[in-house]
Amino acid sequence: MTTVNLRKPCIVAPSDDNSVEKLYRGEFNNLECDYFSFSRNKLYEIFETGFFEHLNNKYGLLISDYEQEEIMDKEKLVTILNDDIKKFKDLKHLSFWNDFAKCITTAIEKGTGIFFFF
Amino acid sequence: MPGRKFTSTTNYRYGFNGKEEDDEVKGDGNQQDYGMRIYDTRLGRFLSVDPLSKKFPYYTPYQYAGNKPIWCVDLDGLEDLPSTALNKYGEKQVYEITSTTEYGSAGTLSIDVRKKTPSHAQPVTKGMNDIQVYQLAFNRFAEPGKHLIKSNQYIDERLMKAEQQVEYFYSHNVPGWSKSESATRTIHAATTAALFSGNEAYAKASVEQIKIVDTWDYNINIASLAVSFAPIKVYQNINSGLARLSRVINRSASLSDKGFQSAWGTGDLGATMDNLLGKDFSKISFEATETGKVVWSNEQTGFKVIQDPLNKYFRVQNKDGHYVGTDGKQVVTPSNLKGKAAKDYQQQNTHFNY
Repeated sequence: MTTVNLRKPCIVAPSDDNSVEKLYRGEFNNLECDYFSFSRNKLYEIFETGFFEHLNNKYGLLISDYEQEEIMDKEKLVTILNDDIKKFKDLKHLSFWNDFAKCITTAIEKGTGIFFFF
Repeated sequence: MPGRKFTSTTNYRYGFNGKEEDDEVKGDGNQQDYGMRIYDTRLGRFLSVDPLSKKFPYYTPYQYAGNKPIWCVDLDGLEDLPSTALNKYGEKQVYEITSTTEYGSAGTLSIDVRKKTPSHAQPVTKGMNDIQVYQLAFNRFAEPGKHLIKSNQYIDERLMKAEQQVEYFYSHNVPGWSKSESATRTIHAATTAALFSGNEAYAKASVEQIKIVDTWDYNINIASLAVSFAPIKVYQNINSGLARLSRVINRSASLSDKGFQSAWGTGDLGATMDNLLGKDFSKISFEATETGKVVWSNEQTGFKVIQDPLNKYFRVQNKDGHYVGTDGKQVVTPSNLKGKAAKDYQQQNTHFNY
């Protein structure tokens, strides 16, 4: 069981439906999930790569700072993992890309989705 | 040229730029009537102040054709317009000023410029939405001369009005904005640097200045607008700053397109800040995010108010990073709401238009 710390930007991949429901309701304690957080400066560096803007445009999302967004569609997750990440992946932020890919993999395997709390 | 003089057998009255010569005043070719002002060809200057000097604070009011006599002509002693541009058919662009209007308290002037010929030329802003027009105006203002129009386009009313708004933004948000040429250029350079190079000290100085001159409620809006744009951090050059600004504006357009805001409630930004952050400004810190938001926080109360001045909404975070209502309390989702309906409830009750 994990408690998501929202003081930093984070990406969460819940492992079961109960945790998905909790996230939808704004509850962050006792979750079954894979999640990673990073500094706000790192977030803006990733913004600078244009990756999230690309996702926003391609999938009609609104990923932004101080906002919440989620991707629940398995096909989109697979495309992001196999296609979109590769276009933007860079050495400077390698740990971010690896953690992000790991979360997406969890979401695909568990049939859930990923939540952005930026 | 010295020693050469054109003599017409028909006493042709017009000279340089097609304007009527006033030869009887100062001798041949030394004075011309531009309609709105008299031009001294020996000085390369007009003899009176430009009636549109309010619109062009970065120029001396006596300038001719925006100090760009090679590229531009001066129509009637009012303003510079490019004369060398040819459209794709090799025709010369021709403009005429059809009217001028004064706008109340802003004191700005609007010029309704219409192109006489050729008829197939298009306005620069054709096909652009308002935000794109604003961006173009901003780019033209930030980098004068770099964003020239295409040869088969003409500058139209929408762009000119957008440029006026950009100027208005500068003149109302930049302390010390001056109409004198040298001061204006210095401030323009400093402001552009602040806008695109992350000069937070300058931005904060702006806010301090603004705080002095007006009321608190007004301050919040104007100061945050200045702050949100000023520290947009740029590491390379002005172009990446413009790209970043473009992303901010695109996000705004996207927010508008998706219609989220219409589902949100309204909130009193000033009252929320007073209640959760306190009224002592010395205890409130702020920072501008790279997406154009302003985060106001008070470490003592632990609350943050995240304001999006461009899109006119705000959110509140408690010390744990949870989004809460304007009363600082967590929003509890009704038990009958599931899935996305639960999320929508949370979103609608933690976003506040103002």
